[in-house]
Amino acid sequence: MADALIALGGAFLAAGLLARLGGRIGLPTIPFFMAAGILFGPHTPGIVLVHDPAELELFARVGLIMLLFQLGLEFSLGDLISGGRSLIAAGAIKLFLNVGGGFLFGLALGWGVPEALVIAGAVGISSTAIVTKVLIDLERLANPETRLILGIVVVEDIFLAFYLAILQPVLDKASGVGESLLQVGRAFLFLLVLFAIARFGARFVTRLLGSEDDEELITVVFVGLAIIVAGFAEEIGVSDAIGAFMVGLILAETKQAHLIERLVLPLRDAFAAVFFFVFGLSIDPGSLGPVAVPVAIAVVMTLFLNVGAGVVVSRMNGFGRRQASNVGFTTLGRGEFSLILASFAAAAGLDDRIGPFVALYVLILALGAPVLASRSRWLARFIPERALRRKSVAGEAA
Amino acid sequence: MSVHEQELPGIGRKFEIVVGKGDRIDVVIHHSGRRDLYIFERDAEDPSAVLKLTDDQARRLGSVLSGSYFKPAVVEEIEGLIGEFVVDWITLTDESPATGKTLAELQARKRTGMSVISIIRTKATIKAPDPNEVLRSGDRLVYVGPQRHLNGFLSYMLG
Repeated sequence: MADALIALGGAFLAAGLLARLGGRIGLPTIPFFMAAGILFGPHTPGIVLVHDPAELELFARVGLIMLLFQLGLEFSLGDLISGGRSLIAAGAIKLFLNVGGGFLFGLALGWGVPEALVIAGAVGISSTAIVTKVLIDLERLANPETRLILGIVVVEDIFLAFYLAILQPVLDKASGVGESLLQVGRAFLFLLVLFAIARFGARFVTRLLGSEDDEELITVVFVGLAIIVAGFAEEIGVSDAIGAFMVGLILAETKQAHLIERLVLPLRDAFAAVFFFVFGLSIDPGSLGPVAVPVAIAVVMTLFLNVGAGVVVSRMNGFGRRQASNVGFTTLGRGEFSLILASFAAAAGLDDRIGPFVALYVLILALGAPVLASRSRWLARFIPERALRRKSVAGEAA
Repeated sequence: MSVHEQELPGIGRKFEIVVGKGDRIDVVIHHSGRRDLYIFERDAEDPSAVLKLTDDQARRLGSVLSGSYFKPAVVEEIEGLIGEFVVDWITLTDESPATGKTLAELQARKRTGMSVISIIRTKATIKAPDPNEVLRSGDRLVYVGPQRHLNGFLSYMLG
């Protein structure tokens, strides 16, 4: 027991202290949480806090559940719809280019089709945490293109949930066609029941959660709900992450939603850090070398596709080069979602180069994106003017 | 002056307030309660100042702006007009003498000089008072009347 406690406490501390160093120079936390896992894990010399990642597996899972639960809780279809078609279109274009490009790139690597699907998601979906941090740090919340960027992020959140849902049956190696159909059917039914509860059962769930005055009991009950539904979901073959996301969607409909949104944050922050740390534990720095070339290609590809998406989206909305550059570079950060997908791949026993590939890719883009985004005004000059010519006059007026 | 409101998905809401000759103040209200003030000079793409306020700081700044701390002369004049009148509300409890009676029975204006102008029941319902409505514990009664009758009214209604 003492060993496990020291390992867990050490994980929190190592992750927190390293990320604070990064925070001093304005860098996001996620790559540092992961790097702490690599440095203090079994594959590197020096202090080894955790010999076997399995020791912390349960806590890491709770972190994943809290990440997805909070995503479901904050997700508001109303926000997106009231934002109008332009936001949904922006998100769809960005995803189409980046996930599509990622899938083709994944196929080209020749690691297999399920592997390509994981890579598509990992290089295609931006990190909500990093995008939001960049916008706030660079004081761009009032910029005209910021709504588009946030719209893209919200579309990506819901896309991730659906992507995980369809990916799970693909990753599970079911023995026959009949069995995998049965599994898809069960998963579908389970999601349908949860959707029905989200739609019609809000009053019942509100009562289950109890009085708004009792924050202690609400916390205990919602943590229980998130974890147990995640467990059932996993049991049925839908993946714990989707279960947790759905509980979030359900609780978002209750009277206590705003309270839970506030109460979940410290839990999510703490356990998500363990999730990223544990992911880092599984990475052997020696395995990063062999994937360096594919990662370099993927990074360059992501740069072009992201800025390309920024240009298309800005042109549609009548913005100029500068806004296109802001959209492209602000959404460049990759983080939590890429790592979640990589952990799925590891759990499903896919090609073991995916872990190091995504780790290195996330490390580069999570650290590089905030730096590039802060220079996006200067970088805008590299975007050909004629790409935006059609409506750029309107953009200057906006 | 125009105020333009916009949703910022995942962050909160943005209010664009155009003042003077095109200078702009953007207020971003985060779901967390934090408020950011972005001040743009006319036609500028970058803000010339950004202020980040906590919920509490924003409220205080708001009350300074609205004149609650220091009343400009203009506001005092307007208040002088309604000077001796009070508008406020009381909340009835189980022990209040008024609970369980109707406004018709109570005859508050005749007996105390203060008028009940509205009943607020739960969060949503605001009623124009029907004289035969039975008052319940928890009802909030909005009243108006001369300051000098206030004490009599309070003891008549609340005991």
